[in-house]
Amino acid sequence: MRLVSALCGNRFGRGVTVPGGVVDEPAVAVSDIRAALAAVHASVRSDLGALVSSASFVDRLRGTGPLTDSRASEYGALGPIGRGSGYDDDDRRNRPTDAYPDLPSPEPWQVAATGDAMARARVRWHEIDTSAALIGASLDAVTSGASSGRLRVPLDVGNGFAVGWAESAQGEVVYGVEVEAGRIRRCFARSASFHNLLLFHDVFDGDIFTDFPFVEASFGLCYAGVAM
Amino acid sequence: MPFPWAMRGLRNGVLTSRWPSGPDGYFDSFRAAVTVVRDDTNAAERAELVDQRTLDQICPTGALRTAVGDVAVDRARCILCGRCVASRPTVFAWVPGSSTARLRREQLVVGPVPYDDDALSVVRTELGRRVRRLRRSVHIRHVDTGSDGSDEWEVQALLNPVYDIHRLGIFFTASPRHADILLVTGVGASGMAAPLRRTREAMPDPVVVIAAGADAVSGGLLRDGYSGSHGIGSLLDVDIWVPGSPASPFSVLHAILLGLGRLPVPAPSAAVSGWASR
Repeated sequence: MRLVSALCGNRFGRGVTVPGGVVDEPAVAVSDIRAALAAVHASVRSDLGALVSSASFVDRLRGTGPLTDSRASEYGALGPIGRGSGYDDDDRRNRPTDAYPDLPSPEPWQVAATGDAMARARVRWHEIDTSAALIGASLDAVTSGASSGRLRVPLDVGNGFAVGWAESAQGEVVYGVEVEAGRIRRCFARSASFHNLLLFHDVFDGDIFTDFPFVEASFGLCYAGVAM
Repeated sequence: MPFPWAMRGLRNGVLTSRWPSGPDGYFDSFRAAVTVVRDDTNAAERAELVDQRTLDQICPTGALRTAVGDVAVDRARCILCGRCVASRPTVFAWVPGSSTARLRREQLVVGPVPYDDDALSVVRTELGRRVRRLRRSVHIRHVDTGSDGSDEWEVQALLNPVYDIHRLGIFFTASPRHADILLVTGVGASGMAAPLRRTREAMPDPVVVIAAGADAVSGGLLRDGYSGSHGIGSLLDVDIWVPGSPASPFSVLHAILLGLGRLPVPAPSAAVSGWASR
């Protein structure tokens, strides 16, 4: 979060991507970004190694919160919840936008998808490595001068409605935006959590009450946005 | 085996901030607010901006306003997008520092507005009396009334080792019946109005209500949207207002300690001089 804060002036990466491009060069030197990222990645992998060798932890995940393959594909479960149950759709690979066509495409998830909390955790652990690789490749592109050097191209924003999407950590986020006279007139945002929320009710078969927090954490739903 | 985790912790050392007992560089440097720079060199540019239509072209949330022939920033509405700083860098500037919480919503307007010292000291005295007993163990109930998740993320961060709110005797509780502080994020969407009121009614007095983030303080970016949400001020009596989009963990922590009387309240003259220095 503090790396993002140093790069963008805020902790959530806001205000950097604008219609037509980006507002500025990275505020942190590429070598410093690489170093900070490497430190975070190494630290997380080290903690993961310790977690995976804790039998008491792994036991709580195995078999907990099972989401069947059929239910996942029937509903179109997004992100790690889908991948853990054998349903792998990834906007970065299947509907790439922006720089994604120029970056290494994330591999389809190959590991046997047992559909439980353990499977979803394994998907997330792998995605940490995927994200680190994508960021590294992006930094390579920045330093190699692959870009045209322009930060932003002028756009002629017409009136109308369009849909945009991106693969977030939780899965696909979709926005529908209606633009009129250069301003956003209506905007609908569907987070991945908003879509996956309904599946939460299907996954408690055979679990006990104290499994609830593990199932909840394995779904990793963000409840915000539903009321808004 | 417990030993590998203990060794891991010892090897990592202490990650926890010393704030408030000691200074913290990130607390002091984080750009949590925007201000109007007032000096002789930009008088002409400021005069040019004393037109609400011009200001509304710059600011997407109507946080810039004219006041007494000059320009003011209403931090209650500011979502920290930085368009004003980018388009008029001689007039608007980022202000580092996380102590952005205030006891009265009017104090969030930074500009040449007359300030009511007496009203502030009445509020301060009453709040101090209310929290006198909440010294060493305080419980917070957090309610999200419709946000994008970033405010909640920052509130959750208070539990991590860096901020470690537990070291200050402050805890989160799942039940309003056990809570002393009601921490509210989100725009106050109509579907959450009744649950929010029920939560407040379930909390035994004394209670401190904190509105955290531009969404809760004013409705944020969605203020004039069809959900009709203007923050939670119309749903509850709010004691502490924390601007920011979202309010950072340090800003929320500062607000909690301010509400508990554990920090000095910014002096009234500081709010007026917040004009150029805050």
